[in-house]
Amino acid sequence: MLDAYAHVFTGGLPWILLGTATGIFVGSIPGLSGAMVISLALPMTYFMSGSDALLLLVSMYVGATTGGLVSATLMRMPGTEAAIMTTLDGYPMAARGEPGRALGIGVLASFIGGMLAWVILALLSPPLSVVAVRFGPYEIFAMTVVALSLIAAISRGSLLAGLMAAGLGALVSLPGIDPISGTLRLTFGFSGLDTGFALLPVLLGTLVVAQVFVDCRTPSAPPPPRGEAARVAMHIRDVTRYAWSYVRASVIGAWIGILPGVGGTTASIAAYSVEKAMAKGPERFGRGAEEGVIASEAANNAGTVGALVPLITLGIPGSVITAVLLGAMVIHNLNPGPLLFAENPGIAHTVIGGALAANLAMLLIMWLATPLLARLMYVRKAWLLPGIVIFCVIGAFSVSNRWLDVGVMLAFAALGYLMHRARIPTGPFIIAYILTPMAEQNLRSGLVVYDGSFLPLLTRPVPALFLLIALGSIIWALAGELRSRRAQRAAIQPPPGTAPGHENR
Amino acid sequence: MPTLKAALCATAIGLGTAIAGPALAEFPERPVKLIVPFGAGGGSDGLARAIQAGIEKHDLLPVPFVVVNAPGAAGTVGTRQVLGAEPDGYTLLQIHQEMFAAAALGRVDYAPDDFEPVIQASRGCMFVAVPEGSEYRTLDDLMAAAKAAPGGLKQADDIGSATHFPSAQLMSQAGTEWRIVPTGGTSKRFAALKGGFADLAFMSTPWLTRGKGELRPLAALGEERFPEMPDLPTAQEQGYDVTACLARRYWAPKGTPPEAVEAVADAIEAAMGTEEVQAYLEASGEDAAVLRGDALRAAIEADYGSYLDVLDVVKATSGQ
Repeated sequence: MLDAYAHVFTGGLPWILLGTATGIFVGSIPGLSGAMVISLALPMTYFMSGSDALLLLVSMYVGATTGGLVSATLMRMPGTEAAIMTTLDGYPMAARGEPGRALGIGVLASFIGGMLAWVILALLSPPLSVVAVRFGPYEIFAMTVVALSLIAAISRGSLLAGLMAAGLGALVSLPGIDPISGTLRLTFGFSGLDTGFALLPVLLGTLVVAQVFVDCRTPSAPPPPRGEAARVAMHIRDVTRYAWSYVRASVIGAWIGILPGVGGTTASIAAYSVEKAMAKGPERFGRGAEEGVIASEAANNAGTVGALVPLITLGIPGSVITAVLLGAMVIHNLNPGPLLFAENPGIAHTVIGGALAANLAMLLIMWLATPLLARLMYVRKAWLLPGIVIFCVIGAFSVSNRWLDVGVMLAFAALGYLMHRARIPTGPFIIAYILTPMAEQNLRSGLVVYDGSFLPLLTRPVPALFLLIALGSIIWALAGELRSRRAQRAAIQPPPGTAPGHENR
Repeated sequence: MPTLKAALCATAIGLGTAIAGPALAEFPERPVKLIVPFGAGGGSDGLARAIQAGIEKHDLLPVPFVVVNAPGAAGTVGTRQVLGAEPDGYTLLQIHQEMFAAAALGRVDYAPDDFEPVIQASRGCMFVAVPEGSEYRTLDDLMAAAKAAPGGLKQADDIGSATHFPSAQLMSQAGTEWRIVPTGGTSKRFAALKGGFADLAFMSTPWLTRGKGELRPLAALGEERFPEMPDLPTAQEQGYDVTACLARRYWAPKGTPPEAVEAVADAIEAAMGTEEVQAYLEASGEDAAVLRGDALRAAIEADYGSYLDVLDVVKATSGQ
């Protein structure tokens, strides 16, 4: 075990630094995803030792999850899928003149989330993985419902628009192969739709390219506050003041990461919804709430590290990227699976140590590199925006090696732009689009497992508890909506008695 | 002087043939592209990358051999890219029976006949697994339980996939049916078994060792017993005529010239002997199983036929 750690911090260190830096760089560029760079790097690791290959890939994974926060905060374009929620509060913070502090909070949250999850990974991996596999289809379905109920919460003030956007997002996720019957649905005989609307083109279109369109129309960016953006402002008081937010988001993120098949993006959505429900003054969320950035960034990094738990204890990948990591372990003959800890503890500890080292390297590199990345994002729009579109085209094309996905991306860019003009929020759209397939697959699998009965959703304790939380959060959001409507009406119509002249007429 | 003239003539003739020659016979003049219709890191990708490494390292082709991942819709997105490619031997496909599953179910408008088979490289057979704590100790136990309560057993699998069909073969051999719980690849199936959400699953051979203490293998699903577990009888020995082996095969677009098919098949067959591919086979638990020409065609026909035979059972055990 100590040998493994010693290697991580000596011979493996160059790979950690290379991997983390590459991951951060790729993650910070909208269009290039962590999954993409790790897939590209995989064949190159064939010529490395198994443990060095894992160190490189794990640190790329950690770096890519973190890098997304820079463009999410400064440009409102999530650099990676996991940074979607960061745009909601990071960008408003930057826009009101605190970009350095927003970045600082994001970087610290990433680091703290990663470290807290690492402690869980190092201490509790084997017992947690046993609990995680007991999480069956109905448990995961109920959990996605909790995350979906966030739609109601973040649409406050415009519930109808939010629900419309969510309905559209759910609809967009439906075409393709039906998960239960194995037949095609809603493809209208067009074979290009057999795989549905793929994640990356939809994401890049609605969130990144649409934002490029918006930026093209606004004559000039808010003047870059030079002194502020040039540094990452990390303050101890931002840690102490929001200490519980860090802890909550990290624990939620780590646990969701541990669940097989659920990754960092869902983790950040769920943590954000919990944080908003617990916060004092939830109306600040979406307008630059510090806790929003903390929840998103702590949870996605914690989820990244958490996803390593089922990977090293059971050989089960928790996300797209960990599936590639599993492939790397097979290729390097490391025989992943439940026996890894018993038969090849060196490898398990290499992964654990690698996650620790990558988190430390991430903090260092983000501290040094974020000002540079930030400056990159404040160059003239005429140079920056075409570059981003080019990266998005490359990213969309590379999903399945075809132009159709580039067309899909442009179509969703148009849709995202129209939604922006119509003041329909894109957040609920993307959240519903990401979570609906997960909810459907698990609900319908559950129906097969439980003989077509919905009852276990209520009789099994965990799903019942989750559904109760979801119900509570929806009622709470509806009540809030009603209250704010009444307040609005009261503000428009002066109360009787204050305008006697009006009544006399 | 005459010697110089002769030399010039010879050079001219030589140049002429050098220019005219390649267009006629020398097949690879530009990079050969192999489409893998699945994502990076999986078994298909693993073999493709190993073959690529073998070919490149040992100069088995005079041109680069490029692997492109084109995942989507259970392999049909990448398959269509080869279906529509120029039949010149520069675009190839590597896919296992997932192609037959999609074609048999009518999910696509092409069939194996629309491609030119190039070579079969490797084969990995599966085994029937139940959780270690299961009450079923033999395949007969399990099948008796399935017959006693039709539709009662739950198998972790992927609906409409290349392993659903051999599962249906086992059902029709046992004369009963059970439920398919859609989970995904072998690691997800393992999670479903361990979590108690499924009773049985078809697993790949690496799980013989990986699943030690967690899984109980009941039957090998090859024609012969596994060398790594000689005590495990095959399903055929136990009276169920079922095999479930994923065969990784290479295909070219229909109408590809036979010389080009041969040249690529030669390179891939030679690559099978390199240490790069041998290391992959060792790690993945697959066996080299090279088939070419008529033997390959016969194997494909038998395989696809066996899929069509159980199509009704597959449809009956798919959800609505």
